[in-house]
Amino acid sequence: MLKLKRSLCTECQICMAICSWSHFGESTTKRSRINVEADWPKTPTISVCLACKGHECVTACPHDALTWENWVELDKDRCDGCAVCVDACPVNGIRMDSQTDLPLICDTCEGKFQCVQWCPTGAVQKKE
Amino acid sequence: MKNWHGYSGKILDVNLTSADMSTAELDCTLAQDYMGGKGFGAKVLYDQLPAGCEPLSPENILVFATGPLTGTLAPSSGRFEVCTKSPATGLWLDSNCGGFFGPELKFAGYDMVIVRGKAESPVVLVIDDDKFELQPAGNLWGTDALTTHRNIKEAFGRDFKVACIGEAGEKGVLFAGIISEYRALGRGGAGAVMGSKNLKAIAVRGTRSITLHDPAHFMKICREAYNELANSPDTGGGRQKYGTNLILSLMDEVGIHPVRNFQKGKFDGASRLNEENIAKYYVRNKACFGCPIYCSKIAEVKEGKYKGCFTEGPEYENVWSFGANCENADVGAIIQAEYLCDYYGLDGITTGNVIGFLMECVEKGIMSEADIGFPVSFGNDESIINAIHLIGRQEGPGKLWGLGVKKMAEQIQGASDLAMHVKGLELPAYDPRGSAGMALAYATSDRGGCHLRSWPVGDELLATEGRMDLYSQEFKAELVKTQQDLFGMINCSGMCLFATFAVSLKQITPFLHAATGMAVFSSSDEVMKIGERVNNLARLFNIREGLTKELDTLPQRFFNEPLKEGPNRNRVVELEQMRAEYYFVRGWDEEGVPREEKLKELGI
Repeated sequence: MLKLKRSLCTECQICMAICSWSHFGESTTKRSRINVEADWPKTPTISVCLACKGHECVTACPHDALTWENWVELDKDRCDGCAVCVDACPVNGIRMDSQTDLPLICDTCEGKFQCVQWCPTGAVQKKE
Repeated sequence: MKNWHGYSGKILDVNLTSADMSTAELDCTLAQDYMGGKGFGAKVLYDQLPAGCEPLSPENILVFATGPLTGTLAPSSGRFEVCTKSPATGLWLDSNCGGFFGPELKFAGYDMVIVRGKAESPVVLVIDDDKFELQPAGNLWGTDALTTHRNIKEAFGRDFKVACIGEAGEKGVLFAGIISEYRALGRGGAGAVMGSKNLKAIAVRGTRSITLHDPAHFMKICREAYNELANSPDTGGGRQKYGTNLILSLMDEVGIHPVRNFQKGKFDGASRLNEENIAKYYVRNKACFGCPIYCSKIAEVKEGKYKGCFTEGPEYENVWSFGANCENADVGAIIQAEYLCDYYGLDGITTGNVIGFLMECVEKGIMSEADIGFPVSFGNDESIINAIHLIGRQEGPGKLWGLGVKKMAEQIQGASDLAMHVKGLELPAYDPRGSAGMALAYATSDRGGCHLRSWPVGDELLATEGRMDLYSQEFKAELVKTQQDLFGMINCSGMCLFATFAVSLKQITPFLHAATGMAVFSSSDEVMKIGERVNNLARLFNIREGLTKELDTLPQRFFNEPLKEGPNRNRVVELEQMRAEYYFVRGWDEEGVPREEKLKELGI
């Protein structure tokens, strides 16, 4: 899973761009599962699934659309976009995809950790 | 409708006078011939701006233009351009900025926004994907540029990206800039043009994606370019550690860092004002969209007179303009000065020049402290801060100072030799007596005294191979011409100039082709030709506005006053031969007018 060192974050949003790219093949930051929010001049906030022990989104989902297997997996057919998972997440790590109305939850690129590979500063790291 | 790649495919045209707004599809020929950014601006202004139009009248046009790489994963591609007729020079102006506004504009679906006319009362242009509207600026008018950012994000949403003016732009300071995401489109007075149109800000949000022509290849060369950047001692080393100040002590050592309004060749405060010392003020690194270089910094003053002051920066040019140029070595004062420039929306280079000019006027007895109202002298940090407040608020003598040094010197008898500008744009941080290349670069820059149209001092000092002699005039015409065309093209592309310090033209061209799929972008020669075409069109624009060969020159000081100390002691500038060679390699006649054959070759 991921761990964050936000004091190293430069707000470049490369993680968001590579995340959107890796999952949708689109050049944008808007469909990212990791979110950098600037608060100039202060250090930005990085929000992403940090794989909490209780898998609270999985428990909270009223439609059994989420399961945990190394990461949170979404069953699109079961999801109705109610966004209960967004509110359940203790680290504000889930956003809704404005194009599909489905939740965007980090799947570590199925172990490839693209954001970790592309982050220029080590602000986003792999938790060993 | 064409299926655009790299581009978003739409242009938004806003007439503030009639409040009419419309979109049009991006023109294929425009994209092929002028690429984007500066090129789009040049074409629009050359075709549509009436000759001799008053820059601060509703007739002037303000173009916000992105490039085909803006908002993509190509490294350091968060840039956009603002093009207009400059109120400072009465000539061509394009100003470039990073941050996040350009990419957001593309995510909203627009490659370019053209702003015309003048709103009846102050407005904010709000663009939210397909929706766009003019809203009353209300209390935002009169609010500083930094608070305006915060207030707009609070009112419309935190994910809106902003380009706005501060008090200086509202009140028509001729060197007012536009502040965008806490960065500046500083030079040439685009902020005053925006203010004259009663346009306080543009706020944009977009939710779309940019599609690419050959995504697999694009991502492959992206990865390679990121590696280049990380391995370069500049973009992966000094620039990350020190920001743009990385060359500060080098420039001081070679005597190119100008001192005391270009009067001296050596700065006594250099031991206090160097990159190591400035880096002690950095609290964190900051980057523009998609940039692994993160040359920007947040700096804070932890103790002393300026305790609590902070800025995003301070940038090399402002460290010079408020530092050595004013013989001030107090880093705290420089940080506060730069903050105030962003707050009021002022160009830091010109503001520092105006203050250095005032200091020399007082020193020479041309002005008295009674004219000014407070003590002004070289090395006095408080005079810098006081002067910026008066300029930003346009109070008292600040009204005169807001005109810039050229127009000030027209009103202050005996001061014209002290006004350090080219074509009305104040000079940046390189003394041309120490670099023949910079002398030619300043004299021939399309927007006046500027180091970003070409930067030959890089090839004279830093090149690892084929380094040129600093003082020799040989091949400087070719160097300046080639760099101007390369930098011109980069300012069309959406990529940052700094990326080119590690990524070569041969690597950049494939980005343009893989992004857009346009055949014309498959050859580096063709891509460079776009840079040349854009520069020639800007030249034609300038000639139409009255530019003559006589203005392709430098302040008299550089010809008549040899430096008395430092490595460039006894040196003056010799320009004429280089300028004649430059016109020749450009395919221009002896008067600096593009020849018919050249225009035909470029398809203008």
